[in-house]
Amino acid sequence: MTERLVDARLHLLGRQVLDTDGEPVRTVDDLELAGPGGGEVRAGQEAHVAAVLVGPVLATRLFGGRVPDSMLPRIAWEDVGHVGTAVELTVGSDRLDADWVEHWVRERLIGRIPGGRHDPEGDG
Amino acid sequence: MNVGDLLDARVLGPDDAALGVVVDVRLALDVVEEPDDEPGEEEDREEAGRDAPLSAQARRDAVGSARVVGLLVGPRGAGSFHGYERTDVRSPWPIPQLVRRRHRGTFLVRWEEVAALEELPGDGAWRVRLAPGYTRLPPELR
Repeated sequence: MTERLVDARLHLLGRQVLDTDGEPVRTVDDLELAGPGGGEVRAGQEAHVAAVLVGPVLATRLFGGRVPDSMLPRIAWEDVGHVGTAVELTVGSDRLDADWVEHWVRERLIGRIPGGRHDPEGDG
Repeated sequence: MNVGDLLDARVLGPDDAALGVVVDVRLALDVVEEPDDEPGEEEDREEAGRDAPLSAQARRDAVGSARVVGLLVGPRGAGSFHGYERTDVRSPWPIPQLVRRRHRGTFLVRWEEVAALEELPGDGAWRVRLAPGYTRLPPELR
């Protein structure tokens, strides 16, 4: 197995996340690190990326402070398939919590509008 | 801990000397061989030449786990690198030359040589302390 070296800020942060169908999900806002066995990160001991964090960080970037980790939707790194100019997942966006706002709006609001469940692309 | 906690964290040497800030976190991605990879993909990419979109020439790998290799420490934190100081790209003159000049002194320190990660009380900022005898490695991406 070969290795590819990347720099987190240069190659990953801010990149588009695509689901398995190539649909855009979110962008990479942060990466969660984990220590040996998935535990806490300790200086000098093996550490790896556990998850891609996507979430509402625009406000904190502008005004400072930080979003609590519990509020950042996470995508497990195991679900990442390819890394190129974008980060491509091996799962569909319907299976991700990261898009829950979009799903909620689709089901509760748009779906209740007459014709809101019609799929124009499904007509062939 | 997140990568965002490490970025821009202040870095101290073993003797408490301020060395700068963490400008980036270097990761090693395991590249997985894909059995269904089209054999000609590499050649196609080269043949695509100048007319093809950049995305067609860009590298795209099937990846496994991502391990932390080390931290890039820069004596002056602010400002983007545009990736220049980590490659040998020299054009368009004089942008890379200016960016490199601003960021000279940047070095890579291996993750094993990080002695402590300390969360500062108050604003949640972090501080990184390096182990005695740490080595300053060149920051270029190989």
